Amino acid sequence: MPKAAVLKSTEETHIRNILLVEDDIALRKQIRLCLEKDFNVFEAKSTIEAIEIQKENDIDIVILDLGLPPFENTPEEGIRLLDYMLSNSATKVIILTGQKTEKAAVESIKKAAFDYIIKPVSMERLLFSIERALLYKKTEKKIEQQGLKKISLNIKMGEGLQSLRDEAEKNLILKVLKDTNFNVYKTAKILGIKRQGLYYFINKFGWRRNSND
Amino acid sequence: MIENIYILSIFTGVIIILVSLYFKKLANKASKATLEIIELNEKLKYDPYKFINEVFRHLKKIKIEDYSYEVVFGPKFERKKTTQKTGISKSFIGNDYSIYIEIVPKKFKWERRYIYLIILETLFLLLKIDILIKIKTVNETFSNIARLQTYIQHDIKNIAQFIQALSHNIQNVKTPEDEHIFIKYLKESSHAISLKANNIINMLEIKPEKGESMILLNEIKKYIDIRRALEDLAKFYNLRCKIKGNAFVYAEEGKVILIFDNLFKNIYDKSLQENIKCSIEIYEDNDSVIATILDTGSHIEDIQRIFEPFYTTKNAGLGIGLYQVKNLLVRMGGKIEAKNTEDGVRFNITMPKTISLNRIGDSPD
Repeated sequence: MPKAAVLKSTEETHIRNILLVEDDIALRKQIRLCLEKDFNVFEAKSTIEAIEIQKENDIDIVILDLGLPPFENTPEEGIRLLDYMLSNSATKVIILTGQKTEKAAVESIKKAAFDYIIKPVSMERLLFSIERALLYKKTEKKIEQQGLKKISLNIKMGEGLQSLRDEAEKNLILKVLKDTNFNVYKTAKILGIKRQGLYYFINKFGWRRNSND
Repeated sequence: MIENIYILSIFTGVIIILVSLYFKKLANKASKATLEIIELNEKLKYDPYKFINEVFRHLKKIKIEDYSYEVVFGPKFERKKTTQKTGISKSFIGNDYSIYIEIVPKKFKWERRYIYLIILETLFLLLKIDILIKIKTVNETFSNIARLQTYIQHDIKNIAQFIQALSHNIQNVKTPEDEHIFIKYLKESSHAISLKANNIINMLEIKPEKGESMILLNEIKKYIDIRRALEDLAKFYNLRCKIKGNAFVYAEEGKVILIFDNLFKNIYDKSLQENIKCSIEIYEDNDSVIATILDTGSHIEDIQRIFEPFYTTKNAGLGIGLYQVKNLLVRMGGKIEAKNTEDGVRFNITMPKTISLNRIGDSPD
């Protein structure tokens, strides 16, 4: 039995949704075949399709090729999609790409991609990464149920603690706002602050509901 | 008294004529030497190293006794003077290169000074241009090789990953149902696999328009239903396309599909950024088949340049696709034109009904 299947059976809740974003149809179909025994697999060949699928479904894991059309030979389209995916959901993104430039890897890690795998790779390696991503997601959920939120920060050292405070405030408030679908009352309650205080931050960071849509 | 004035006038006239003749001779000599230098540079194919080595043989004819130079642009080449005499010099120090030239004429005063200054300026300018050409050519070559490698690597890595996944999946085919799904997915991918293989092979065969003839492996020729081929491509790229008319060509299918695939891929890329429709008309005209492809998308900037090799309007594009399309069509005895029109961008493709591509380097009939 594949490891991923073992993991799924321990969950005993529902079949996990995986979104496979890959413009090469031949490769996409083979990866799909490899995954669909254990997961519910959605396919997207472009950024537009991927965003539509993610909006309509509760995606647990995204396997993302960075070289997407119309710029198949640069990571920029994939990085843009990665940014969108991670700002709009709690999905884990595994990069599976031929782009081995340091810049692409650094950008992906900065955006908090879960894993960065360079093609070609054995399917066992990909399945192992999916397994770990699911485990992380499950653990994070448990931690959240205990009232703890995990946020990631990119901080430039040597600039004092003010930027750290700002970044932490910004990320935490945005995460809770998204979780509550921009419900100010619920967000304020979860964060334990007054609504007026929350409005102050919303104005400060210039957020608008669904501004990324 | 008047006679003396006449004699003086005649004498002055003669002097003026002699001086004029002298200057004419000097100017002739200078312009001849300048032209010789320019021609030599052209003959040596703008190679700075060969030029600087050979040019001084010519300069001896105009009485330049000695010279020295130091040229650095990656490689460094130099020559020191053999005498202690000081001549006239010019130098330039830039980020990528530096030049120093000194010439020592036998006589360097009065009117001769200006002649030698012109010679020095010409020499310096030619050398500077040669070095800039060399630097630009080298940089462009490396940049194009890198771009080509990126493209081929992208496809090769996907193929390698496809093989990894395929071999994993083959091992997991256990039941007839598994087998059925496995074959179904392979069938769905077969068109893409064949297109990719074709693209890679053609990418590897890329060469200048007037390059050496290359004998290709014969692909079996057959009658190609152009309408059907275009419908398949439109479906593959998920493009909304109205297709009118039909025609057949007798040719190697892979090459013909490659031509249309490149055009469709460009329309597809555009469709990801703007809402576009495309319409195609196919008809016969005597011994030719004409396909007109119109997309309602935005105009192409500098459309007259799109068939140039390595010219691209896309970010990180390679600029090879349309060059290949044009090359293939020209070698088939066909042609392609692109136009920005009021309705969008229109490509007119003309190809002979019977196409021979056995020797792809042959000039069109």
